[in-house]
Amino acid sequence: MKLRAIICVCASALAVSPAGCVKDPVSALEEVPIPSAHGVYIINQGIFGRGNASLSYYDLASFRVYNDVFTAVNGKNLGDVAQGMTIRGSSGFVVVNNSQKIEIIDLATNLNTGTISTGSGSSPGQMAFVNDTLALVTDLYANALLVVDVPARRVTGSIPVGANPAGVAIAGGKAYVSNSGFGSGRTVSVVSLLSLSVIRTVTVGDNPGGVEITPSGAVYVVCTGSYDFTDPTKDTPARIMVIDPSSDVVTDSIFIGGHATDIGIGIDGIGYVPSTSEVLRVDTRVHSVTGVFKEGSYFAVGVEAGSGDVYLANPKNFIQPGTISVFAPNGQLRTQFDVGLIPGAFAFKR
Amino acid sequence: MKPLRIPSSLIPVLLIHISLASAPESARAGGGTPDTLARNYTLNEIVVTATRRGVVSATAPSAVTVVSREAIEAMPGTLLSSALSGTPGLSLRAYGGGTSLQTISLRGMSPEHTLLLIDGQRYNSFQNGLADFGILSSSDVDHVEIVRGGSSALYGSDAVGGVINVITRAAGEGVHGSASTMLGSNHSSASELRMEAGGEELGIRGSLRREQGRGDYEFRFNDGRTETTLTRGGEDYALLSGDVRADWRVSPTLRSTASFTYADADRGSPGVVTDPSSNGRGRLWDRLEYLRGGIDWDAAGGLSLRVNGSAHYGLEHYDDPGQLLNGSTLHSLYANHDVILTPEALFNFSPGLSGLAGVEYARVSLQSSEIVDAVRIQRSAFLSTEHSFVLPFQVPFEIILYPSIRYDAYSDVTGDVSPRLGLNIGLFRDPVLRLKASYGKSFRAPVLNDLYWIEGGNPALRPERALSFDAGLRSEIELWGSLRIEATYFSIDSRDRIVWVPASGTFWSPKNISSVTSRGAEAEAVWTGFDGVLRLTLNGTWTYVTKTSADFPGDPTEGKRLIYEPAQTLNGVAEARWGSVMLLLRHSWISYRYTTEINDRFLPAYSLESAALRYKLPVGPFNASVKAEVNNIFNTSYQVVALYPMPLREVRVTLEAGL
Repeated sequence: MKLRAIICVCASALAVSPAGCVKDPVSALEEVPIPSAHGVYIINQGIFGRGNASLSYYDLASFRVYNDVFTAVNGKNLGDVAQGMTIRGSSGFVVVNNSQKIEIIDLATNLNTGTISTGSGSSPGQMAFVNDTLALVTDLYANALLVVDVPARRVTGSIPVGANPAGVAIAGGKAYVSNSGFGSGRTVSVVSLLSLSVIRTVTVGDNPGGVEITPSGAVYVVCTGSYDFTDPTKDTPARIMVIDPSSDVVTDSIFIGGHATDIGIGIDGIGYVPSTSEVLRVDTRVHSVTGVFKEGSYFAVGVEAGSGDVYLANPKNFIQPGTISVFAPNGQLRTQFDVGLIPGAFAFKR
Repeated sequence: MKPLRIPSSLIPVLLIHISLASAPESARAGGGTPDTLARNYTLNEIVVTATRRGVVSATAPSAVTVVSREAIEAMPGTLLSSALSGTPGLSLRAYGGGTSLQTISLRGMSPEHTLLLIDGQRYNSFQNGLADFGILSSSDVDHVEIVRGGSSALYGSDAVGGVINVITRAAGEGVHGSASTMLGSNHSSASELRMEAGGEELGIRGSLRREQGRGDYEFRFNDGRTETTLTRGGEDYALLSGDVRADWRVSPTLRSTASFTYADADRGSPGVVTDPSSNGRGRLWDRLEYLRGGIDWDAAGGLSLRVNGSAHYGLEHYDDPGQLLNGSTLHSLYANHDVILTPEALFNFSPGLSGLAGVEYARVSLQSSEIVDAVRIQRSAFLSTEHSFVLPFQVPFEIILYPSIRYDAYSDVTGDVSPRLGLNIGLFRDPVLRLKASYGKSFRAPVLNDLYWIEGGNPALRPERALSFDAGLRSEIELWGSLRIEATYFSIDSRDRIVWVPASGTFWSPKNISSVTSRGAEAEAVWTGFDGVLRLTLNGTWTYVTKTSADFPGDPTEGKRLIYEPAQTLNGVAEARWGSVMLLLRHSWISYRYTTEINDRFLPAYSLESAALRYKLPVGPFNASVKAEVNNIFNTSYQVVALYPMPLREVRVTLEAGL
């Protein structure tokens, strides 16, 4: 009897040990966008390890900003660290680095139409399309390009390149891959799209990052410059190395200074390079810096083809919504709006 | 109702037993103590951590929780953190199941603002300020004292949210040996051997333990739309640990102790789960070699001298074969060496005046692949006294003041002075009602990571500073048994908090820029009835931790709650001991926790239930027992830290036999 009484008292004690009175917050539902034909996707990395990457959309017909578009439309999270988005046809391919996947969305509806898993342990970064069925994706820690069968939505192979590939772009039947070496690299791997193998390694500047193709067909490699954390005066400055895809040799070197990682180039050939404390204007037709476009530190840049407007991303202190500033080519501020956490790339829907 | 204060004539007896951070159980077993005192101990444990000297918990100036050996053995789980996780004001962050990284914090402060002591000696890493509870077994622990509130005036850096003092077990009398084995879910198993021999003068105890598991537990993955059940990969672990302790009573007035702890942990650290295919290959490998010792001499005239020291070697590797840097896989190495020596003089000049004065010297060195090799010398001095005044009234009838002050000087950063005044007022004798309060300054010195990290360390950092206040009531009444109720309000205002922020837009560097305020209340009720057969514990904590500073004009994180700090936690434990049977049921409820500094995302509230059943039986000359336990009985899907899924239901069975 005593044991039964004890068990009854125990059970009663747990019954009165209740759930608390603090209720979960109610999440504000993001508005579902009605996309028009033209707009700008802002790819927000989110904070590493917290799974809060997101997509923002700036509609160029209504000039409205929609945040957290992917979740609002699809009801699920985008993932951890969205690295970039590549538009091909009517689809957008969002590379989600620390989720080891590429999410595919329909640009007309933002509906998630598929997922490409890049495999356990992979670290997908930048994506470039060879054609409608074949794409290449940098894999930061595998020292390789992943080969993606787009219709099958799977990785079918990999191409060994240099150390820690950071950027990729395609020109003249070849892929140009910047091998960052995580700060210590100095090369670009040239990959034949026929043999899917490296056919040449080109020496460039310190710490190559972003790779872009200019309207005239030149390959621009943004070399961030090296860091010396114990003595910053020994840092090497950023440069843009220009590769001629017909010969695969470096034909020019543009001094940038500071540390730059990105370049956005308009259809008129004018490029914009955010460096440590300013955004430089670069004329890719003559391969030279033509002036300072804006003072300030920005994380990413994009140029809208129709208007030539320059989009600059400011992640602030990396733990709050970042701000996008849109400037006309003459430097006039057109608009400013807040997006998600750590805006790091743009994709333009035209 | 018996009086709560220990008679002054017994204080020398107590000092003998509490010296060298010995256990309340030891004090109870000391022999010759009056029944009245033994009874008081059951409600009012002697705690050494609240004053460094020993005080009955009811008369301490701080809110104190003692987790006894009995409670530790009754709880499910083999890690120390399992036994501590339901105590008031304590927040556990687990980065997965098994022996994954776990940290503990008190009163809404961060884990590096909570000081962990082992046998009274500092254990927090000088490198990162943390203690990894994932590799700390509860096997050799006698009891744990948790003192909440700022305590830098006694212990120096890091004691901002409070102090956790883990006191290891001394050998009992006679010769004993035991072996145990455990089998559990997710291919987990453990085995342990213990030997001990103790007499009037000398006692030696040793244990060797091995625990391993595949960590392949099931969890539910929710992508925001659909939920699927997945199996965690890459979280296997193997933990080997050993502990030896010798206690030597050289004479009635001279005692010494020495102990050595060894641990080797090899653990998978697969990282976050953001997708069904997430499966990192990172591994953590830790080695701990920890030597502690002390000498305690009762000199004449109410004076005791005590010297405690420790030598700690911690080696930590983090490898990730999936990350290639400069052609090599990621490999981080940290080798910490520290030596600490603490001589103290304890005085007990009269029933109304007692205290201690001491100095502390620490030498710390660090070699690392990611931090500039560093050496730190710490020199400290402290003074703490207790002044007791019997009042000529019935209400209140007694006031005890606990002033303390400590100065810490460092070779590489600014030092700090930490004063504190504690107060305990006896309001009513029957029923017992006492008021506790304290007000003081605490601090946290920058750790070696902050100062010397190769990519952005900032040698110009200052210590973080905090002002702590708490006040609470404690009552003990007879209600079909004994009932203890304690409720405390607290506030901690910290400033100059060190935050890593982007520097020059390219790399990150720490700065003293943030201020954080933590306000809240803790309440606990413990009822023991049926002649000690049944014990019920209910506690709740309400904490509101906000960032009160702006990193720049318009900073939207100003006024927001800190991430991962629950606003409310509730715990209930029912423990019944009837003959050879012990049954424990535990329920915990944790409110939502924000996961972003702007408070736009959160992890939902969850509740966990667990149970343990133990049956002791004599088999021939052996004392055998079998213990069965179930964690997460109702298969709750939850995360303590975002994207680190926790296991669903787990079952363990432990068999033990001893002589």
